[in-house]
Amino acid sequence: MENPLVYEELKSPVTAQLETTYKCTNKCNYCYNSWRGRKNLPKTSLSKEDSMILSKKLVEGELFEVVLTGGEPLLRRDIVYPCAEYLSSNNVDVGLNTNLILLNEKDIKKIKDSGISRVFASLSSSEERLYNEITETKAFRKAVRGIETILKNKLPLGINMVVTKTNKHQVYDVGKFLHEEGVKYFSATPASPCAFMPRELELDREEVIHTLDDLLRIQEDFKMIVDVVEPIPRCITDDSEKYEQFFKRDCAAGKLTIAISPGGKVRPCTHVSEEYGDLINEELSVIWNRMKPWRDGKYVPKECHECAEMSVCSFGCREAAKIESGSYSSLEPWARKPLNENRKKVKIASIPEDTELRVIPNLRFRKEKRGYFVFSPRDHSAIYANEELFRVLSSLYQKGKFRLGDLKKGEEGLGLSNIIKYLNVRGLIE
Amino acid sequence: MVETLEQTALSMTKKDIKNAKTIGIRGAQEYPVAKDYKKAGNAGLRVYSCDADCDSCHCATY
Repeated sequence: MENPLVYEELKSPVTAQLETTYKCTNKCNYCYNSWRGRKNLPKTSLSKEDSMILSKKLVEGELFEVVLTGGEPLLRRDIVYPCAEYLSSNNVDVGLNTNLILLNEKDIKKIKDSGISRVFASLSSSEERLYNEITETKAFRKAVRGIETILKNKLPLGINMVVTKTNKHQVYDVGKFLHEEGVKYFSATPASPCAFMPRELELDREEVIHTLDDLLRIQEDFKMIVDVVEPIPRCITDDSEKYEQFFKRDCAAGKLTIAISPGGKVRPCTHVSEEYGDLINEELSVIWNRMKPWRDGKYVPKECHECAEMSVCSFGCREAAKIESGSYSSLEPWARKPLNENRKKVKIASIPEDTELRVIPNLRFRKEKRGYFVFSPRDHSAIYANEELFRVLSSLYQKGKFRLGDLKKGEEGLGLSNIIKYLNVRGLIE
Repeated sequence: MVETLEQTALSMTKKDIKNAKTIGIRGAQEYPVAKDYKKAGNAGLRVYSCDADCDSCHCATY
Protein backbone atom coordinates (compact mmCIF):
# COMPACT_ATOMS: atom_id res chain seq x y z
CA MET A 1 0.00 0.00 0.00
CA GLU A 2 1.23 3.46 -0.85
CA ASN A 3 2.20 5.38 2.26
CA PRO A 4 -0.33 8.20 2.62
CA LEU A 5 2.08 10.33 4.59
CA VAL A 6 4.67 11.06 1.98
CA TYR A 7 5.48 14.76 2.27
CA GLU A 8 5.24 16.87 -0.82
CA GLU A 9 8.78 17.26 -2.08
CA LEU A 10 9.82 20.89 -1.70
CA LYS A 11 12.93 21.91 -3.60
CA SER A 12 14.66 23.00 -0.38
CA PRO A 13 13.91 23.56 3.31
CA VAL A 14 11.62 26.39 4.35
CA THR A 15 13.62 27.21 7.44
CA ALA A 16 17.01 26.51 9.03
CA GLN A 17 18.55 26.70 12.48
CA LEU A 18 22.11 27.96 12.09
CA GLU A 19 24.22 27.01 15.11
CA THR A 20 26.89 29.68 15.35
CA THR A 21 28.91 28.10 18.15
CA TYR A 22 29.13 24.99 20.31
CA LYS A 23 29.92 27.14 23.34
CA CYS A 24 27.35 28.29 25.83
CA THR A 25 27.31 30.32 29.03
CA ASN A 26 24.82 27.87 30.55
CA LYS A 27 24.91 24.16 31.15
CA CYS A 28 21.17 23.46 31.26
CA ASN A 29 20.41 19.89 32.21
CA TYR A 30 17.69 19.64 29.55
CA CYS A 31 19.75 20.93 26.59
CA TYR A 32 18.47 19.39 23.35
CA ASN A 33 21.47 20.07 21.14
CA SER A 34 22.47 16.67 19.85
CA TRP A 35 26.18 17.43 20.28
CA ARG A 36 25.78 18.63 23.86
CA GLY A 37 28.00 16.78 26.31
CA ARG A 38 29.98 15.11 23.54
CA LYS A 39 33.61 14.92 24.50
CA ASN A 40 35.03 14.96 20.97
CA LEU A 41 33.46 18.23 19.82
CA PRO A 42 35.47 19.93 17.09
CA LYS A 43 37.69 22.60 18.57
CA THR A 44 37.45 24.85 15.58
CA SER A 45 34.57 27.26 15.54
CA LEU A 46 32.79 28.69 12.55
CA SER A 47 34.92 31.25 10.74
CA LYS A 48 33.49 34.51 9.46
CA GLU A 49 34.23 33.42 5.93
CA ASP A 50 32.39 30.11 6.33
CA SER A 51 29.44 31.77 8.03
CA MET A 52 28.97 33.94 4.95
CA ILE A 53 29.32 30.91 2.65
CA LEU A 54 26.53 29.22 4.62
CA SER A 55 24.37 32.35 4.55
CA LYS A 56 24.77 32.71 0.79
CA LYS A 57 23.78 29.08 0.24
CA LEU A 58 20.67 29.57 2.35
CA VAL A 59 19.69 32.61 0.28
CA GLU A 60 20.39 30.72 -2.96
CA GLY A 61 18.33 27.83 -1.61
CA GLU A 62 15.42 30.27 -1.22
CA LEU A 63 14.85 29.65 2.46
CA PHE A 64 12.25 31.86 4.10
CA GLU A 65 13.57 31.87 7.62
CA VAL A 66 16.88 31.36 9.42
CA VAL A 67 17.17 31.19 13.19
CA LEU A 68 20.60 32.07 14.56
CA THR A 69 21.24 29.87 17.53
CA GLY A 70 24.01 27.97 19.31
CA GLY A 71 25.25 27.24 21.95
CA GLU A 72 24.82 30.86 22.86
CA PRO A 73 24.91 32.97 19.69
CA LEU A 74 25.84 36.18 21.53
CA LEU A 75 29.24 34.58 22.10
CA ARG A 76 29.67 35.04 18.34
CA ARG A 77 28.50 38.59 17.71
CA ASP A 78 31.17 38.77 14.99
CA ILE A 79 29.18 36.21 13.00
CA VAL A 80 25.60 36.77 14.17
CA TYR A 81 25.13 40.37 13.10
CA PRO A 82 26.85 40.24 9.67
CA CYS A 83 24.95 37.03 8.82
CA ALA A 84 21.66 38.55 9.99
CA GLU A 85 22.25 41.65 7.93
CA TYR A 86 23.06 39.68 4.80
CA LEU A 87 20.12 37.28 5.24
CA SER A 88 17.51 39.93 6.07
CA SER A 89 18.60 42.12 3.17
CA ASN A 90 17.92 39.11 0.93
CA ASN A 91 14.31 38.64 2.10
CA VAL A 92 15.11 35.96 4.69
CA ASP A 93 13.30 36.38 8.00
CA VAL A 94 15.89 36.16 10.80
CA GLY A 95 15.28 35.11 14.40
CA LEU A 96 17.71 34.95 17.30
CA ASN A 97 17.59 32.23 19.98
CA THR A 98 19.47 33.33 23.09
CA ASN A 99 19.53 32.90 26.85
CA LEU A 100 19.84 36.73 27.11
CA ILE A 101 22.60 36.60 29.71
CA LEU A 102 25.10 38.46 27.54
CA LEU A 103 22.60 40.88 26.02
CA ASN A 104 23.35 44.57 26.46
CA GLU A 105 22.11 47.89 25.07
CA LYS A 106 24.65 47.76 22.21
CA ASP A 107 23.10 44.48 21.09
CA ILE A 108 19.69 46.11 20.83
CA LYS A 109 20.91 48.53 18.19
CA LYS A 110 22.71 45.75 16.35
CA ILE A 111 19.66 43.49 16.48
CA LYS A 112 17.53 46.26 14.99
CA ASP A 113 20.12 47.37 12.42
CA SER A 114 20.87 43.84 11.22
CA GLY A 115 17.20 43.10 10.57
CA ILE A 116 16.64 40.42 13.21
CA SER A 117 12.87 40.33 13.44
CA ARG A 118 12.39 38.64 16.80
CA VAL A 119 14.17 37.22 19.80
CA PHE A 120 13.29 33.86 21.30
CA ALA A 121 14.75 33.33 24.74
CA SER A 122 14.73 30.73 27.47
CA LEU A 123 13.78 31.01 31.13
CA SER A 124 13.64 27.77 33.06
CA SER A 125 12.37 29.23 36.33
CA SER A 126 11.22 32.46 37.95
CA GLU A 127 12.98 31.44 41.16
CA GLU A 128 16.58 32.57 41.23
CA ARG A 129 17.82 29.52 43.09
CA LEU A 130 16.17 27.03 40.76
CA TYR A 131 17.17 28.88 37.59
CA ASN A 132 20.78 28.98 38.73
CA GLU A 133 20.67 25.31 39.66
CA ILE A 134 19.25 24.22 36.30
CA THR A 135 21.60 26.36 34.23
CA GLU A 136 24.62 25.83 36.51
CA THR A 137 25.14 29.59 36.61
CA LYS A 138 24.49 32.55 38.85
CA ALA A 139 22.90 34.40 35.97
CA PHE A 140 19.19 34.61 36.83
CA ARG A 141 19.27 38.37 37.31
CA LYS A 142 21.16 38.86 34.06
CA ALA A 143 18.55 36.82 32.19
CA VAL A 144 15.73 38.90 33.69
CA ARG A 145 17.59 42.10 32.89
CA GLY A 146 17.88 40.82 29.31
CA ILE A 147 14.12 40.33 29.13
CA GLU A 148 13.55 43.85 30.46
CA THR A 149 16.05 45.33 28.00
CA ILE A 150 14.33 43.66 25.05
CA LEU A 151 10.88 44.78 26.21
CA LYS A 152 12.01 48.34 26.96
CA ASN A 153 13.22 48.56 23.37
CA LYS A 154 10.00 47.07 22.01
CA LEU A 155 11.59 44.17 20.17
CA PRO A 156 9.31 41.16 19.54
CA LEU A 157 10.10 38.62 22.26
CA GLY A 158 8.99 35.08 22.97
CA ILE A 159 10.04 33.14 26.04
CA ASN A 160 10.29 29.37 26.18
CA MET A 161 10.49 27.33 29.36
CA VAL A 162 11.68 23.77 28.90
CA VAL A 163 9.76 21.71 31.44
CA THR A 164 11.33 18.76 33.25
CA LYS A 165 10.76 17.02 36.56
CA THR A 166 12.94 19.75 38.11
CA ASN A 167 10.71 22.73 37.26
CA LYS A 168 7.32 21.21 36.34
CA HIS A 169 5.66 22.84 39.37
CA GLN A 170 6.79 26.28 38.18
CA VAL A 171 5.00 26.63 34.85
CA TYR A 172 2.15 28.83 36.08
CA ASP A 173 4.48 30.94 38.21
CA VAL A 174 6.85 31.55 35.30
CA GLY A 175 3.91 32.57 33.09
CA LYS A 176 2.66 34.96 35.78
CA PHE A 177 6.14 36.39 36.31
CA LEU A 178 6.59 36.99 32.59
CA HIS A 179 3.13 38.55 32.29
CA GLU A 180 4.06 40.99 35.03
CA GLU A 181 7.27 41.76 33.14
CA GLY A 182 5.23 42.54 30.03
CA VAL A 183 5.92 39.43 27.93
CA LYS A 184 3.06 38.48 25.58
CA TYR A 185 4.21 35.10 24.21
CA PHE A 186 5.09 32.21 26.48
CA SER A 187 5.72 28.60 25.60
CA ALA A 188 6.26 25.84 28.13
CA THR A 189 7.67 22.87 26.30
CA PRO A 190 7.88 19.46 27.93
CA ALA A 191 11.43 18.28 27.34
CA SER A 192 11.32 15.33 25.01
CA PRO A 193 14.03 12.71 25.46
CA CYS A 194 17.30 13.82 23.94
CA ALA A 195 20.89 12.70 24.05
CA PHE A 196 22.20 15.01 26.78
CA MET A 197 19.29 15.12 29.23
CA PRO A 198 19.24 12.46 31.96
CA ARG A 199 16.15 10.30 31.41
CA GLU A 200 14.97 10.71 34.99
CA LEU A 201 14.17 14.34 34.18
CA GLU A 202 11.59 13.41 31.53
CA LEU A 203 7.94 14.13 32.19
CA ASP A 204 5.41 11.32 32.03
CA ARG A 205 2.09 11.72 30.17
CA GLU A 206 0.21 13.04 33.20
CA GLU A 207 2.88 15.65 33.82
CA VAL A 208 2.76 16.74 30.17
CA ILE A 209 -1.01 17.18 30.42
CA HIS A 210 -0.58 19.08 33.68
CA THR A 211 1.83 21.42 31.86
CA LEU A 212 -0.77 22.01 29.15
CA ASP A 213 -3.39 22.70 31.84
CA ASP A 214 -1.09 25.30 33.38
CA LEU A 215 -0.66 26.93 29.96
CA LEU A 216 -4.43 27.08 29.49
CA ARG A 217 -4.77 28.75 32.90
CA ILE A 218 -2.10 31.28 31.94
CA GLN A 219 -3.94 31.96 28.69
CA GLU A 220 -7.20 32.47 30.57
CA ASP A 221 -5.84 34.49 33.50
CA PHE A 222 -3.31 36.71 31.72
CA LYS A 223 -4.47 36.66 28.08
CA MET A 224 -0.98 35.62 26.98
CA ILE A 225 -0.30 33.70 23.78
CA VAL A 226 0.71 30.26 24.98
CA ASP A 227 2.29 27.41 23.07
CA VAL A 228 4.55 24.39 23.13
CA VAL A 229 7.38 24.30 20.60
CA GLU A 230 7.80 20.56 20.13
CA PRO A 231 5.38 18.09 18.55
CA ILE A 232 3.11 16.17 20.92
CA PRO A 233 1.26 13.04 19.73
CA ARG A 234 -2.53 13.47 19.78
CA CYS A 235 -3.16 10.15 21.49
CA ILE A 236 -1.49 11.41 24.67
CA THR A 237 -4.97 12.46 25.85
CA ASP A 238 -8.60 11.38 25.62
CA ASP A 239 -9.65 15.03 25.58
CA SER A 240 -8.06 16.27 22.38
CA GLU A 241 -10.60 19.09 22.01
CA LYS A 242 -9.40 20.79 25.18
CA TYR A 243 -5.77 20.68 24.11
CA GLU A 244 -6.25 21.10 20.34
CA GLN A 245 -4.12 24.27 20.14
CA PHE A 246 -1.09 22.34 21.35
CA PHE A 247 -1.29 19.71 18.61
CA LYS A 248 -0.75 22.13 15.72
CA ARG A 249 2.98 21.73 15.63
CA ASP A 250 4.26 19.06 13.30
CA CYS A 251 7.68 17.48 13.42
CA ALA A 252 9.29 19.45 10.60
CA ALA A 253 12.67 17.69 10.78
CA GLY A 254 13.99 17.06 7.29
CA LYS A 255 10.57 17.92 5.82
CA LEU A 256 10.55 21.69 6.16
CA THR A 257 13.60 22.43 8.25
CA ILE A 258 17.28 21.65 8.79
CA ALA A 259 19.88 22.40 11.45
CA ILE A 260 23.41 23.43 10.53
CA SER A 261 26.20 22.84 13.02
CA PRO A 262 29.05 25.31 13.63
CA GLY A 263 31.14 23.08 11.38
CA GLY A 264 28.63 23.38 8.52
CA LYS A 265 27.25 19.86 8.91
CA VAL A 266 23.55 19.50 8.09
CA ARG A 267 21.10 17.56 10.26
CA PRO A 268 17.29 17.21 10.10
CA CYS A 269 16.88 19.21 13.32
CA THR A 270 18.80 20.38 16.35
CA HIS A 271 17.90 17.26 18.36
CA VAL A 272 19.19 14.76 15.80
CA SER A 273 22.88 13.89 15.63
CA GLU A 274 22.85 12.17 12.22
CA GLU A 275 24.64 14.29 9.62
CA TYR A 276 23.68 14.34 5.93
CA GLY A 277 26.33 16.54 4.41
CA ASP A 278 28.69 19.48 4.63
CA LEU A 279 27.08 22.71 3.48
CA ILE A 280 30.35 24.57 3.31
CA ASN A 281 31.61 22.21 0.59
CA GLU A 282 28.42 20.74 -0.92
CA GLU A 283 25.26 22.06 -2.54
CA LEU A 284 22.16 22.32 -0.36
CA SER A 285 20.03 20.50 -2.95
CA VAL A 286 22.36 17.47 -2.83
CA ILE A 287 22.20 17.30 0.96
CA TRP A 288 18.41 17.87 0.96
CA ASN A 289 18.00 14.90 -1.38
CA ARG A 290 19.89 12.68 1.04
CA MET A 291 17.32 13.51 3.73
CA LYS A 292 14.41 11.92 1.84
CA PRO A 293 13.73 9.24 4.47
CA TRP A 294 12.53 12.06 6.74
CA ARG A 295 9.75 12.93 4.32
CA ASP A 296 8.85 9.76 2.45
CA GLY A 297 6.88 8.23 5.32
CA LYS A 298 9.66 5.85 6.34
CA TYR A 299 9.69 7.15 9.91
CA VAL A 300 5.94 7.04 10.51
CA PRO A 301 5.46 4.37 13.22
CA LYS A 302 3.63 1.32 11.89
CA GLU A 303 1.19 1.48 14.83
CA CYS A 304 0.11 4.96 13.67
CA HIS A 305 -1.11 3.60 10.31
CA GLU A 306 -4.06 2.09 12.19
CA CYS A 307 -5.01 5.40 13.83
CA ALA A 308 -8.03 7.47 12.74
CA GLU A 309 -6.11 10.67 13.51
CA MET A 310 -3.05 9.73 11.47
CA SER A 311 -3.62 12.49 8.92
CA VAL A 312 -3.60 15.23 11.55
CA CYS A 313 -1.03 13.96 14.03
CA SER A 314 2.64 14.88 14.39
CA PHE A 315 3.59 11.41 15.79
CA GLY A 316 5.78 13.28 18.27
CA CYS A 317 9.54 13.72 18.15
CA ARG A 318 11.42 11.12 16.08
CA GLU A 319 14.63 11.57 18.06
CA ALA A 320 12.67 10.88 21.26
CA ALA A 321 11.32 7.72 19.61
CA LYS A 322 14.84 6.62 18.75
CA ILE A 323 16.09 7.21 22.28
CA GLU A 324 13.08 5.35 23.69
CA SER A 325 13.07 2.38 21.34
CA GLY A 326 16.16 2.52 19.16
CA SER A 327 14.49 3.54 15.90
CA TYR A 328 13.19 6.74 14.31
CA SER A 329 10.14 4.78 13.19
CA SER A 330 9.07 3.58 16.62
CA LEU A 331 6.38 5.09 18.83
CA GLU A 332 7.56 8.00 20.90
CA PRO A 333 7.27 7.78 24.70
CA TRP A 334 4.08 9.86 25.13
CA ALA A 335 2.10 8.04 22.41
CA ARG A 336 -0.41 5.45 23.61
CA LYS A 337 -2.48 3.56 21.06
CA PRO A 338 -4.23 3.97 17.70
CA LEU A 339 -7.58 5.77 17.93
CA ASN A 340 -10.80 4.49 16.39
CA GLU A 341 -12.31 7.87 15.69
CA ASN A 342 -10.96 11.18 14.40
CA ARG A 343 -11.95 13.61 17.15
CA LYS A 344 -10.93 16.73 15.30
CA LYS A 345 -13.78 19.21 14.83
CA VAL A 346 -14.49 21.26 11.72
CA LYS A 347 -14.15 24.99 12.13
CA ILE A 348 -15.87 27.40 9.79
CA ALA A 349 -14.51 30.91 9.49
CA SER A 350 -17.08 33.63 9.87
CA ILE A 351 -16.30 37.06 8.45
CA PRO A 352 -18.97 39.80 8.51
CA GLU A 353 -19.63 41.07 4.97
CA ASP A 354 -18.68 44.66 5.84
CA THR A 355 -15.34 43.80 7.48
CA GLU A 356 -12.44 45.52 5.76
CA LEU A 357 -9.88 42.90 4.71
CA ARG A 358 -6.46 42.92 3.11
CA VAL A 359 -3.70 40.51 2.15
CA ILE A 360 -1.01 40.50 4.84
CA PRO A 361 1.80 42.86 3.76
CA ASN A 362 5.28 41.60 3.00
CA LEU A 363 4.28 38.04 2.01
CA ARG A 364 7.14 36.12 0.46
CA PHE A 365 7.07 33.30 -2.04
CA ARG A 366 9.16 30.93 -4.12
CA LYS A 367 8.38 28.81 -7.16
CA GLU A 368 7.94 25.11 -6.55
CA LYS A 369 7.34 22.19 -8.89
CA ARG A 370 3.54 22.46 -8.74
CA GLY A 371 2.97 26.10 -7.83
CA TYR A 372 4.20 28.57 -5.25
CA PHE A 373 5.10 28.27 -1.60
CA VAL A 374 3.85 31.44 0.13
CA PHE A 375 5.14 32.45 3.56
CA SER A 376 4.18 35.16 6.01
CA PRO A 377 7.13 36.42 8.09
CA ARG A 378 4.66 37.91 10.56
CA ASP A 379 3.47 34.64 12.10
CA HIS A 380 5.13 32.02 9.87
CA SER A 381 1.86 30.91 8.37
CA ALA A 382 2.25 29.45 4.89
CA ILE A 383 0.48 27.72 2.04
CA TYR A 384 1.53 25.82 -1.03
CA ALA A 385 -0.70 27.36 -3.70
CA ASN A 386 -1.25 26.14 -7.23
CA GLU A 387 -0.73 28.63 -10.08
CA GLU A 388 -4.38 29.70 -10.04
CA LEU A 389 -4.58 30.33 -6.30
CA PHE A 390 -1.34 32.28 -6.47
CA ARG A 391 -2.82 34.54 -9.18
CA VAL A 392 -5.89 35.08 -6.99
CA LEU A 393 -3.68 36.00 -4.04
CA SER A 394 -1.55 38.39 -6.08
CA SER A 395 -4.64 40.01 -7.53
CA LEU A 396 -6.24 40.41 -4.08
CA TYR A 397 -3.02 41.99 -2.83
CA GLN A 398 -3.21 44.63 -5.53
CA LYS A 399 -6.77 45.50 -4.54
CA GLY A 400 -5.53 46.83 -1.21
CA LYS A 401 -8.57 46.82 1.08
CA PHE A 402 -11.75 44.93 0.19
CA ARG A 403 -14.94 43.55 1.75
CA LEU A 404 -16.78 40.26 1.21
CA GLY A 405 -19.97 42.29 0.69
CA ASP A 406 -18.43 44.02 -2.34
CA LEU A 407 -17.90 40.76 -4.24
CA LYS A 408 -20.07 39.93 -7.23
CA LYS A 409 -23.05 37.66 -6.64
CA GLY A 410 -23.16 34.22 -8.23
CA GLU A 411 -20.82 31.29 -8.46
CA GLU A 412 -17.74 33.40 -9.13
CA GLY A 413 -18.41 35.62 -6.08
CA LEU A 414 -19.10 32.62 -3.85
CA GLY A 415 -15.91 30.95 -5.06
CA LEU A 416 -13.85 34.06 -4.35
CA SER A 417 -15.55 34.52 -0.99
CA ASN A 418 -14.62 30.98 0.01
CA ILE A 419 -11.04 31.48 -1.09
CA ILE A 420 -10.82 34.69 0.97
CA LYS A 421 -12.23 32.90 4.02
CA TYR A 422 -9.74 30.10 3.51
CA LEU A 423 -6.81 32.51 3.20
CA ASN A 424 -8.05 34.28 6.34
CA VAL A 425 -8.08 31.01 8.27
CA ARG A 426 -4.57 30.31 7.01
CA GLY A 427 -3.31 33.69 8.21
CA LEU A 428 -2.60 35.27 4.81
CA ILE A 429 -5.55 37.68 4.86
CA GLU A 430 -6.53 39.88 7.80
CA MET B 1 16.35 34.56 -3.13
CA VAL B 2 12.66 34.41 -2.21
CA GLU B 3 10.50 37.16 -3.68
CA THR B 4 7.87 39.36 -2.11
CA LEU B 5 4.26 39.58 -3.24
CA GLU B 6 4.82 43.28 -3.91
CA GLN B 7 6.97 42.17 -6.85
CA THR B 8 4.02 40.47 -8.56
CA ALA B 9 1.24 42.08 -10.56
CA LEU B 10 -0.94 39.17 -11.61
CA SER B 11 -4.63 39.43 -12.37
CA MET B 12 -7.18 36.70 -11.71
CA THR B 13 -9.78 35.25 -14.06
CA LYS B 14 -12.99 33.31 -13.45
CA LYS B 15 -11.02 30.18 -14.36
CA ASP B 16 -8.46 30.95 -11.65
CA ILE B 17 -11.18 31.30 -9.02
CA LYS B 18 -12.69 28.01 -10.12
CA ASN B 19 -9.43 26.10 -10.14
CA ALA B 20 -7.67 27.63 -7.13
CA LYS B 21 -6.21 24.91 -4.93
CA THR B 22 -3.76 24.39 -2.16
CA ILE B 23 -1.33 21.53 -2.30
CA GLY B 24 -0.95 19.53 0.88
CA ILE B 25 2.64 19.31 1.98
CA ARG B 26 1.64 16.42 4.16
CA GLY B 27 0.29 13.82 1.77
CA ALA B 28 0.87 14.35 -1.91
CA GLN B 29 -2.73 15.09 -2.86
CA GLU B 30 -4.08 18.37 -4.07
CA TYR B 31 -6.81 19.86 -1.96
CA PRO B 32 -9.45 21.99 -3.65
CA VAL B 33 -10.65 25.05 -1.84
CA ALA B 34 -14.26 24.13 -1.09
CA LYS B 35 -16.60 25.51 -3.74
CA ASP B 36 -19.71 25.17 -1.64
CA TYR B 37 -18.64 25.44 1.93
CA LYS B 38 -22.20 25.67 3.31
CA LYS B 39 -23.12 22.35 1.76
CA ALA B 40 -19.87 20.83 2.94
CA GLY B 41 -20.35 22.26 6.43
CA ASN B 42 -23.94 21.05 6.69
CA ALA B 43 -22.88 17.62 5.61
CA GLY B 44 -20.35 17.63 8.42
CA LEU B 45 -17.46 17.55 6.02
CA ARG B 46 -14.23 19.41 6.39
CA VAL B 47 -14.68 22.78 4.91
CA TYR B 48 -11.97 24.89 3.56
CA SER B 49 -9.64 22.68 1.77
CA CYS B 50 -8.91 19.18 2.57
CA ASP B 51 -9.32 16.00 4.48
CA ALA B 52 -6.80 17.24 6.96
CA ASP B 53 -8.77 20.35 8.01
CA CYS B 54 -6.51 23.13 6.94
CA ASP B 55 -7.10 25.65 9.69
CA SER B 56 -5.01 23.51 11.93
CA CYS B 57 -3.47 20.97 9.64
CA HIS B 58 0.17 20.25 9.21
CA CYS B 59 0.52 20.70 5.51
CA ALA B 60 2.52 23.87 5.85
CA THR B 61 2.58 24.73 9.49
CA TYR B 62 5.35 23.94 11.84
